[in-house]
Amino acid sequence: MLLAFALSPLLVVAIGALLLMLAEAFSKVRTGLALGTVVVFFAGLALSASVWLYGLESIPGLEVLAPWLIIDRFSMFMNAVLCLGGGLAALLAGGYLPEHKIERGEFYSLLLFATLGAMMLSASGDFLTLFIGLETMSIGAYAMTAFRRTSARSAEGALKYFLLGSFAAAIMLYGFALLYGATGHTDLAGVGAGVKSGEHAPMVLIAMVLVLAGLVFKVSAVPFHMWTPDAYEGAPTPATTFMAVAVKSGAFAMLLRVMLTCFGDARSMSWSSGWPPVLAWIAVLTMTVANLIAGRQESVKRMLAYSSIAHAGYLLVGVVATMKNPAQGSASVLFYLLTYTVSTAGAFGALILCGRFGAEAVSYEDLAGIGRRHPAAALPFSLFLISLAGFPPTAGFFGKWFVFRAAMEGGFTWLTIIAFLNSVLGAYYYLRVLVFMYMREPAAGAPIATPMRSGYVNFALILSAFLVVVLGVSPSLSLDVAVKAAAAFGGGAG
Amino acid sequence: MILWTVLKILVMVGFLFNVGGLLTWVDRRLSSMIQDRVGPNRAGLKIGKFELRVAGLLHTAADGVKFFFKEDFMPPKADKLLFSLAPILAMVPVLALTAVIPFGDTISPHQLWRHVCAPVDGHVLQVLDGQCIDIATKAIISKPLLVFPSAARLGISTVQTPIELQVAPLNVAILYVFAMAGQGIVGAAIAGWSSDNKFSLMGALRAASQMVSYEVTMGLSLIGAMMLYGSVRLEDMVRWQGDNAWGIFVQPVAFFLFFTAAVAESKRIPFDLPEAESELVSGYFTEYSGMKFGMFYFAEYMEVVTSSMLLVTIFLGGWQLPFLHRDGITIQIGETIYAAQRLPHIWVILFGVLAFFGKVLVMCLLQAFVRWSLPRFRYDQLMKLGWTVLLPVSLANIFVTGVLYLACESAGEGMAHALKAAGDVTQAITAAVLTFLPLWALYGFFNTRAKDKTLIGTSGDMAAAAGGTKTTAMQG
Amino acid sequence: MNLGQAYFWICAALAVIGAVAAVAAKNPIRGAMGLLLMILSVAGLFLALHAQFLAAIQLIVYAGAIVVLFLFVIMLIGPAASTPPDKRGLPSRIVGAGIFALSGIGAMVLLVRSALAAAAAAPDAGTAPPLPPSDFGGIDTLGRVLFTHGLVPFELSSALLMVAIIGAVAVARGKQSDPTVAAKTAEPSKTRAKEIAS
Repeated sequence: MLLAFALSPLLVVAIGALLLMLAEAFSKVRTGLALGTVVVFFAGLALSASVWLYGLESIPGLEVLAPWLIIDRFSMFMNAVLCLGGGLAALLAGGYLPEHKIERGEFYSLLLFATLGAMMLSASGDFLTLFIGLETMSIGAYAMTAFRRTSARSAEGALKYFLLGSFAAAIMLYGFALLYGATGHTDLAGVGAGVKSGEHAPMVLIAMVLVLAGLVFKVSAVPFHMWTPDAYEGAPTPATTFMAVAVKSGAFAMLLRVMLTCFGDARSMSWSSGWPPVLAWIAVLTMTVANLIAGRQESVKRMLAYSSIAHAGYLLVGVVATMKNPAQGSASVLFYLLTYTVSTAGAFGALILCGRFGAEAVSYEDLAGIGRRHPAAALPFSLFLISLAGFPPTAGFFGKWFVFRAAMEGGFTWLTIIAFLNSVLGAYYYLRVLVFMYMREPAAGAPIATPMRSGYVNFALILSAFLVVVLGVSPSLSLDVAVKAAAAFGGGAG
Repeated sequence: MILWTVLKILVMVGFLFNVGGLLTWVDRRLSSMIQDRVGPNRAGLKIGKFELRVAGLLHTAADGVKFFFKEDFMPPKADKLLFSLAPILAMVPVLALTAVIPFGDTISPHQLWRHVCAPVDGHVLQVLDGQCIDIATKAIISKPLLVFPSAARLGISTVQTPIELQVAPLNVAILYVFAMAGQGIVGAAIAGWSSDNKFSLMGALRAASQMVSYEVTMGLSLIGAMMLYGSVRLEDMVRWQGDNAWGIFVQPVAFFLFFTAAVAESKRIPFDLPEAESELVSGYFTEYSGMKFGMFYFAEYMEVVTSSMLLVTIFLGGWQLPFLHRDGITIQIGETIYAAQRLPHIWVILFGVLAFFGKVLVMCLLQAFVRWSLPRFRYDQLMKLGWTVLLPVSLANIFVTGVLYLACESAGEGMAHALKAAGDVTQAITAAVLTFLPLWALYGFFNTRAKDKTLIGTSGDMAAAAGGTKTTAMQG
Repeated sequence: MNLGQAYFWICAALAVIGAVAAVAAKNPIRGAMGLLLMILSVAGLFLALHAQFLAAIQLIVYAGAIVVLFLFVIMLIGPAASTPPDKRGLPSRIVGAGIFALSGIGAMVLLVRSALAAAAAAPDAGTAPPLPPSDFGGIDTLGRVLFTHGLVPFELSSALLMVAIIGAVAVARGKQSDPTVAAKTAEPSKTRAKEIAS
């Protein structure tokens, strides 16, 4: 029974998805679906919290699930973050889909199952479950991207995402196969032990490169970011939110787990012969390229897509920082994921709120003067953008602060400086939205965006604004939680 | 062993080819009987005064000869390689499928060729190490005699390992069947594509989608049977049916599902949409002629035979006959034995093999009857039937079978005995049906009313009955 | 070379030929046929490894379903499915191929070197590996492993299948049940009718 309790966040999402599907199939009423999905997600969130508070140490029999699923504080934290992200996306969908007349029950099932995949991914301790989780998450995301059948952009984005994503998954799978060949294990710990023994070094090296390529694709870092803007722009905005928030969190959880468990030995984690320099350079490239391109975008949605790539760069800085101190580095990544989730979901939500069917807010011009006309939509938007830019006293500030501090203490001063300069660069395009919202007026005769009304979106915005402020004013509680979650990797650098 | 394998392949392939060929004639004759006309009865062999015309049986041979000498036409823009490859791809899987089908019980050579001691006065003898030994004194009395049919006398060493009457005893037999059945689609598909003809392409698309759709039902309908039989090996399935009851009694729904799916798989009426002549000329083999067409045509008939073989193996007890066991006939219902008769091993084997092939022939005839009795479906009806009727029913069948199986398993001893008795009763029913049917057929054959005779006879007879025409003399 | 080795080499050669044909064929159907040949040969290789179940599944899933799916798509697209001529210049092609070839060869050399080193280091080098147990690769063994040791991933994969089905339905069904489309197609005729009436 306790085992079911430990698994309950996953179970409630899975069962909730199935029940909602049945409800959709046998009832004519569609309006309750979004509400049901949100309830399921927040039940998952609440159950993760209660399992956390109950204490996983006092639940016997968890080793039955090993090595397939590792139910530890790390996965519980990720469950909570993913359920939060999924819940926010579901709230946005509840407003967005009816407004844009694409409300179909499949979206919510896809959302739930994709989140389930991400939860599986963050809990998996074996390549087999890892891959199943990854594919569950990705296929859900592909389908959600292609959800607007009538839109060519949606189809284009989905096709690019699907093809590139499948290649990345195949490349990563090839890496797994080589690792299995080299070590005779598919469980991460066993592979880690095999890698540590140092046999089959060239094979492991090739495998590491392949696995890394797949992982970096999933977190959409440069040079594997090409799909991101198109997919993010083509997808319905709630799906974009989900991809930016939950898929990225799941991918980073996978990245941390694979890198620190499989390649967590001293050799692989050294600067001279391991993966940290590779990831460091990828982080530098990602931040710089994404920020430079984001500044040149005319579409706000596309800008937010590049912004999410840039944030992947900051997160990678945190991953690099695990080289010296795995616990601190991963704690900073986890905390960053939390702050990033609430800020990004909020920003997309505000963007949804700014437009309605036929008059969607897409470009900067669309937002001109909205701050004066519709302050209720513009004000939260500003808050989330400030948080994304990393100004105090918002959540984003502390997220960056802890990542940078972890990097500094890890001795990556140069990397920190580059990341800092980049966040200054990033502030430009976030503030540009504010400039358009508050200081410009729409050109005469230009189509202006009128905000939509939706209780769901309003609630999502209030919730994320609340979290942004709370995390920004008193981050200590959640940081504590993140540190405890990351304690799983405390002894990683053996 | 190689010799035996070759022999087994010869039996299977020989049966397949002959019955497949025969079916082309049976199909036409049967259609004429059902449609109240004469049908092909012309082909004959005339050497001098001697005339051979066995009810038109030679049409089969004539067709074959025609196929070989007909122009082998290939459309100018066809893909030459694939066009030639397609008939092979359509035919080979059908042949390969028969490899796992058991057509008889396992032969135990030491039982077949029995060493017997000639009786000697005052001794009770026993065969031991190739010697006749007195049981009481353990003294060697004489050499044993090999009793009929002695292979040793022909110079062949008597193999002591049991011989399975099955070309390849695979342990994934059913999956192999599905794997092979799945390959047939490719042949039809590329035949249609490479012909460079719109009708062919449409036919190929229809064929592929139809076969893919019905393959699902075909596979799922057998899950229940596999659960009961506890094996996927076809020979184990047959043995289970011999020990308990035939598959048609324990899985009646699955039998009809599998039968329907099998007919659909072989693309015959009422599922012959891929080659519907009123819509698509003749579907994916429109452009084929000569022996290449012959191979498609023939593959279709052989598919009828193989699907009948599968039906017989899985649902109709394979080589089993009611109450015929490895040691002879034992009529037993529940705990009561009504009659028992020991039979030599070779007779049991022979009866089994004959029973298997006989059942296959009956199933082939049944399929031919179905073909000429039912109208063709419309394409959307076909798809709807497959996906919204057969598939859910086969899933429900799995579920119900599972629940019942679990209930019977946990019901205890009494239930097991009752089930055993019920199984024996089904054997009795089968035996009764098997005796009654041929008798009824014979009665029908000899008791034809005069009116029917004029209708079913040849056109010559009809003409003669009507007072004769100018050409009736030719009929003799 | 004994019979088993000959079988291996024939299957391996056919697999390579099929793979090359799948990639190199200009005609997509021939490419699919190459893929089919490759799949059949790999199934043959599985048989040589006593993995009968895997071989059968390879045939059912890949040859019987996936290749047929490919054929289907190619046939539905029709003659347009043939590859258009590659418009990229020769230099870019050579550079691209060169990068791939170099990295591939480099990886191969590294792999072979490590494999050779491992083979030399292994104490039982040169002896044939022991034969697997007779029930290896059959359905019974596999089923038992699947429902005991591998129960967790087995159950998790149901979520994967589920999401794939829902995704396929969501993407494929979209057009018919999208009310905006119906509204859009219906509206112009209505307005036109009004215009005519006025």
